Amino acid sequence: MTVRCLHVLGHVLRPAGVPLAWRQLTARRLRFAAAVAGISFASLMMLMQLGFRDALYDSVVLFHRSLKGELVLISRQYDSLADSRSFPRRRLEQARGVAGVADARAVYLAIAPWKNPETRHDRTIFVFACDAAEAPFEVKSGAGVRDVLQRPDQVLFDDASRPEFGPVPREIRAGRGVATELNGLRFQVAGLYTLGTSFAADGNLLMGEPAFHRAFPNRSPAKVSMGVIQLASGADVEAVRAELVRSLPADVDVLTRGEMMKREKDYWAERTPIGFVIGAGLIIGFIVGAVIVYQILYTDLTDHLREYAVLKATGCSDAFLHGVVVQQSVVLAVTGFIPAAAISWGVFLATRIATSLPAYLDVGKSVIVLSLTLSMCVISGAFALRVLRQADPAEVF
Amino acid sequence: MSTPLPIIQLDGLSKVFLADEVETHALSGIHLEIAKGEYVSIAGPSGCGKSTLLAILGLLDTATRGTYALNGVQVANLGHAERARIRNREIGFIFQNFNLIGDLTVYENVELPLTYRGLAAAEREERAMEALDKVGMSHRLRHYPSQLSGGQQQRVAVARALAGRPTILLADEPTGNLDSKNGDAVMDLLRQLHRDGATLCMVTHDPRFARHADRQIHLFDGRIVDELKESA
Repeated sequence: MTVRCLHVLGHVLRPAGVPLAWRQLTARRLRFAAAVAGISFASLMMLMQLGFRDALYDSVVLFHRSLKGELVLISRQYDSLADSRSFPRRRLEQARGVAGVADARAVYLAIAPWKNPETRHDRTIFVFACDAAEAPFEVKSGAGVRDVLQRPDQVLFDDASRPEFGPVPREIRAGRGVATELNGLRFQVAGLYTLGTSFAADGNLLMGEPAFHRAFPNRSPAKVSMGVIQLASGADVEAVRAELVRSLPADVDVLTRGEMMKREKDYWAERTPIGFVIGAGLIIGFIVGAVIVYQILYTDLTDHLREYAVLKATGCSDAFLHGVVVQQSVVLAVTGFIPAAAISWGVFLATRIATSLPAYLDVGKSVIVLSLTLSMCVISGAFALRVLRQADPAEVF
Repeated sequence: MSTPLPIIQLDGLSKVFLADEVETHALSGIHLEIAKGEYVSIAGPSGCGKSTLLAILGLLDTATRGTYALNGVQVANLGHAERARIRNREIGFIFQNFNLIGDLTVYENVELPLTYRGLAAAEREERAMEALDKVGMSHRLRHYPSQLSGGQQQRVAVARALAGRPTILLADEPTGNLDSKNGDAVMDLLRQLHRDGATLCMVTHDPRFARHADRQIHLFDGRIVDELKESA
C-alpha cells in the first residue's frame, strides 16, 4: 500500500519528463523515511510553536471579544488584563455626556485566592465584575445572570476553568450547591458561564458590583478597571473617539475593541518572555529541519555524483540539475509536512481537552508552516548544490 | 565535384596537463578529419592519449592548442553552457561502464537526455522507442539496469546515445566490461548502425574490434603514428 502510494505520488509530482528527483530520493526507502521523519519533526515543532502562540493570543482576548461596546476606556497605565490599573469612575459619567455615546459602563478586574471546595487548596482565580444587572459583555450562561449580578454573596463560575479549582461544574450541573471562599470570604456559586482560560488566567469568576466590593473591600468604588462605551445608533466611531479623547483628561486612553485586542496581544508578544520563547522555538525548528534536509540531500547528491557527471556529459545543463535538487527539496517538504500537520491536529485536540486553551490547526498556520518548510528545504538544497560542482563529466571516460 | 566538409576536423591539436609544475603532453599536433558516415577506431597502448582525445572530441575537455571544428563550426573556445548544448544535440556517448542511471527504467534512461533537450513528450516517446527498437531492447522498457545483463545494459546505453539522433557517436571501449559473446554482439550492433549511416568514432585497445572500423588510427605518446584504411 505504502509503495503504491509512493508510486502514485511520484507520478503526480513527476516533472515534464523522467521523475529523476523522485526516483533518486525514494530509491533508498529507509533513508527517505528517516528524512521525512526529520522534516516532520521540524515542521511539527513550528506548527506547535505557532499553535501555542495563537492559542495564547486568542485566549488573552477572549474577554475583549465578548465586550458589548464599540469603544473602551482604560487607564493610561494599563498594561494587560492581568495587570490593569484603575481610573476614576467619573470618567464614565463624563463620557456619557459626549455626543454619540449611548452608555458607558464599568468593568472591574481583579485576581484573588479561590479555595477549591473539595481539596480546600487555594488557587488564584480571575474575577470579572460589572456595575449593572446586564453585563456590558456577552455572558454565555444558562443561569439567571441578572439575579446573580445583583447579589453580594453570589458568583458565576467559568465552566472552562482548570479542574484544579474544584469539581464546581460537575456539582452545579448535578443540582448541588457549591459554596467556598474567595479572598477569604464565603460565596455561593449560583451557576456557570463560559469564557475560557488563558495563559494569564486558568479560572474565572463573574460577579456583580455588590459582590465585588464585598470581596475586595480595599478597592475604592470610585475607581474602575475598564469602561465599555456603547454608541448611539448611527454614531461614527472615529468621531466619537476623537471627541472622547478631546474632552476626557489624559489619565485614560480611548481604544476601539480591535485596538484593545491588539494592545493585549502586543503586551504578551513584546513585554513577556513568551513571545521570545515561541519565536526562538520557531527558529530552532527551522534550523533543525534545514540541517536535516542539507544532510540528506548532500548524502544523496554525493551518492549519485557519478550519475550526475554522466548527465552533464550527455549535455544536461546546470539549471536542469539544480531543478532536480529543488524538486527533491519540494518533495521532502511536502511529504514531511503532511504527517506533521496530522500529528499537530491531534496534539492541539489533546491540548484543548487538557487545558481548554483555544489551540487549533487552521489554514493560516498550515500555509505559514508549509511555506517555512518549503523555504527550509529549498535553502538547504541550494547549499547542497555545491556538491554538484564535483561532478566532472570528463571523468566518465 | 567538391568534397563535403568533414564532420570533425582537428588541426594541430595539443593537450598539456600541468601537475606540480611538470608538463605532461597528452596530445601533440593531432590532425584528424572524420567524414559523415565514417567509422573510425582509435587504438593505442594505455596512456597514449586515447581517452583525452575522445574527451576533447566529445567537448568534455578543451585542447591547449589547435583548432576543432564540428560540423564546420569552431567549438574549441565555446562556453560551458554552449558546449553542453552541443553535446546534447550533436554527440552520442557510449561508455565502457554503460553509465546508466540505476534508479531509472530502461525507457527512462533513454528518454532522460531528450527531456533536458526540451523535446515534447510525444517526440521523446517516439525517439526513445525507435532507438530501443533499433538495439533490440524494446521488450525490456520497464526493467531497471540491475535487472539486465552487461550486454543488455550496453545496448540500452547505445539506444540512449542514438535517441538524440547525434551527428557522431563516440564510443569509449564499448566492450571493455563485457564478455566476448556480449562484446561481439555490441560490436555487431555498432557495425549495423554504421551500415545504416551512423558516423562512429571508437576508442579500443582490442585490435580485433579496431578492425571493424573503416579507418584505424594508432596513437602513441600523444601522436598519430599510423593510420590504416580498410579496403572496401
